[in-house]
Amino acid sequence: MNKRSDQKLGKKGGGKISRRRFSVERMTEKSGLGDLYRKVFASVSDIVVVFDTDLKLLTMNPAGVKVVRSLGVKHVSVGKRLSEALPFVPKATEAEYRKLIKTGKSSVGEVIYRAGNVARIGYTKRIPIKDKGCVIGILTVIQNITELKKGELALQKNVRRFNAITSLAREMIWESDLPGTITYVSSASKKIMGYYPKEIIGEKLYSRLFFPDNHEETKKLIEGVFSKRKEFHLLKLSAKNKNGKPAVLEVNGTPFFDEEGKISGYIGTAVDVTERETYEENLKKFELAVENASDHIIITDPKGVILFANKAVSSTTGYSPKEIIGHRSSLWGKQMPPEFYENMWRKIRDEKEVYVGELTNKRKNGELYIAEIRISPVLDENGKIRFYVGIERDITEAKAIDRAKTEFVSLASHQLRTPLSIIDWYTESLLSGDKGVLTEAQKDYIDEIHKSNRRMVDLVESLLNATRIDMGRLVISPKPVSLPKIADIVLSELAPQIKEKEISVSKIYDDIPEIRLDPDLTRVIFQNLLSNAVKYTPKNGKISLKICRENGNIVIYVADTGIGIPEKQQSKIFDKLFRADNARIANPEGNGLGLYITKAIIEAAKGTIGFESKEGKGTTFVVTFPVSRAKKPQVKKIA
Amino acid sequence: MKILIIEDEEALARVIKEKFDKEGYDSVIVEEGEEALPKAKQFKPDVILLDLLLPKRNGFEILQDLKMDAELKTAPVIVLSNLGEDENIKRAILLGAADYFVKTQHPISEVVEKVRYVAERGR
Repeated sequence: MNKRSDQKLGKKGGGKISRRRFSVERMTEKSGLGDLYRKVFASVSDIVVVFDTDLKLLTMNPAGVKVVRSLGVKHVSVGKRLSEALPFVPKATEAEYRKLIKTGKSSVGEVIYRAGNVARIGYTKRIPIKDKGCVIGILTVIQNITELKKGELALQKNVRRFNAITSLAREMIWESDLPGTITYVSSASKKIMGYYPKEIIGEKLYSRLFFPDNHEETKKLIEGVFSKRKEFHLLKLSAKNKNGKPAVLEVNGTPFFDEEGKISGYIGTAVDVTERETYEENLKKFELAVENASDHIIITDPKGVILFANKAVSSTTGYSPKEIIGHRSSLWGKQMPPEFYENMWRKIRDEKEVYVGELTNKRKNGELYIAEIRISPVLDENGKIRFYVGIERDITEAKAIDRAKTEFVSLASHQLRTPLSIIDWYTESLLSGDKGVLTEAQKDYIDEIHKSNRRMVDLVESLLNATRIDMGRLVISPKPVSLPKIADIVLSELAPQIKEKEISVSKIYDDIPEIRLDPDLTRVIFQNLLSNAVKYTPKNGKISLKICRENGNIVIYVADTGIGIPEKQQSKIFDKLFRADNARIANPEGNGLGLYITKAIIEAAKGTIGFESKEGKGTTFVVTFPVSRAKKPQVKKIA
Repeated sequence: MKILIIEDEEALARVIKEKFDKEGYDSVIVEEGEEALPKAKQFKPDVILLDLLLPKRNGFEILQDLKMDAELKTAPVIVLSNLGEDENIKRAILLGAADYFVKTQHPISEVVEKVRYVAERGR
């Protein structure tokens, strides 16, 4: 056997073949493809190396030799052991080979190797060569995948970039083929449609993603767009999200081309504009409402410069929108003293609170008018003023009417009362015999006149009180009053009627403190309740009056054994001008204002009035005043 | 006792005067506001009855003038009016009226009673 060691392998290979190499050669010769294999071996760019079972280098292809040479090894020594022939190979690799020879299994993997000054990534296959079931050698192929790897990394990076951006974007990215099957959708589909991408990919565009009654329409729409083979923008589609709720999508798309440049489908974005649609619709509603409101409305910036003025502003001020926008409301103002405006600004700008007030303004034509204004500061999330909203109402006429009403009430009260006083005093004079003794008949007649006149006086008083209540002009002057005292005065005034009807009156007055009430109005309360009790209680009836303290309140009970209030009419008994049917029969002259006025007076004093009544049995009225109105108890002097 | 009645409603003034005549008082009626002060100076009443709503001159003004006059300010003034609002009553009292009656709310006998009371107290 010729042991040829240190065989130089030139670029062309060849030379004398040792017995070992011969076995490889022989194998290829056997198959008849020897020449072909030799050509492949020589020309392939992968590194091909063969070792025997002792890890002696049998052969290496030119590509391998090139690499070895670049690492400083001048000759590739065939026949030398791995560690000698290729000293740069790590020990671990050697161990790996031994293992593979032993097990007869192949292995693949990535390796890092050097070629010249450059590190490379290789994909290696180590395959044991078997002859009749025995391992006779090991074949190693190393493919340089450095560029491939770089490309892979770049691709992975791009995919990561793409995913990051699509998950961030509000917009959903979609891709569909020409027939309309969704081939890709970004993770935003969860947010927008409620579906994960995997739930949608493969679905037809116009399927469960749209409401059933929309299918045909949507199909036509999409097919129409796709058929144009052009970019499209702002296509509005009414889709259905996973919860079955509508989602209005604004879709953009552009044709997508395959590697050959042929159109393969469409790709684009879709945004959920449902909120925006509702928002815009609502905004439009508000715009219309504000624009057409009868109140004059302006919106200004924090400095007071007008940004918006509705139609009514022009009709109150006389200035056109052009003249107003960009200017200040002082355009029609400046009629009040400076302190007025300082105070107003202090409230809205410094205290950041709503200002309500009345002021005089001036129209473009010079006409002065009175306005009620309401200015509200509008704050942003940080509490800074963003806008002011000013609402103005021309109340000149309303004020004039109010003034006229007040004057009318005043005048009417005087004008009505004067002739009534005259009749009152003249009949009184006649009845006292000032002009001579009257016959019984004359006395009787004049008495009727007097009584009738008193009724008119009462009516006028009641009407005037009611009007004042309606106009909110009931003036109350609270003073400490003794309720028992006022009650007694009223009872003494009613004494003649009480005596005539033989009604028994019982009084229970607890020791209660004086209470802050308007004395005249308190008198009205007792007059009304006690005179009603007397009026509506038949002969020999009973009236009881109790003033006491209960649960920290002062309570007045006025009970009678009179005709009572029918149950069906009890809810209306405090209504203005209301008279219960049985009351109307018993006392046709009543005016229906008494309880209305009494209730208003009691409530104005923060008290309450209620009652219990049974028709035919009697009524008990209960008036309660909170004790905060009570003064400290006075020490009564016992004379 | 001398009573000056300042009232423009003739019928009312008359019946009041007749009541006072019956009592034996000496009373004089003034129907025009402008005559009120000169007449008062001349007559030197013990009590003055004053209506507020008078033509040409405001009852409040007359009240003020009466109270500012050195001679006249001692005579108690009872305001007899049908202007019943609290503001008027308050104003009259603040200007120095001794009392205030709303005509329709009091019989004439009470008015006479009040005058007697006020005059006697003055003495």
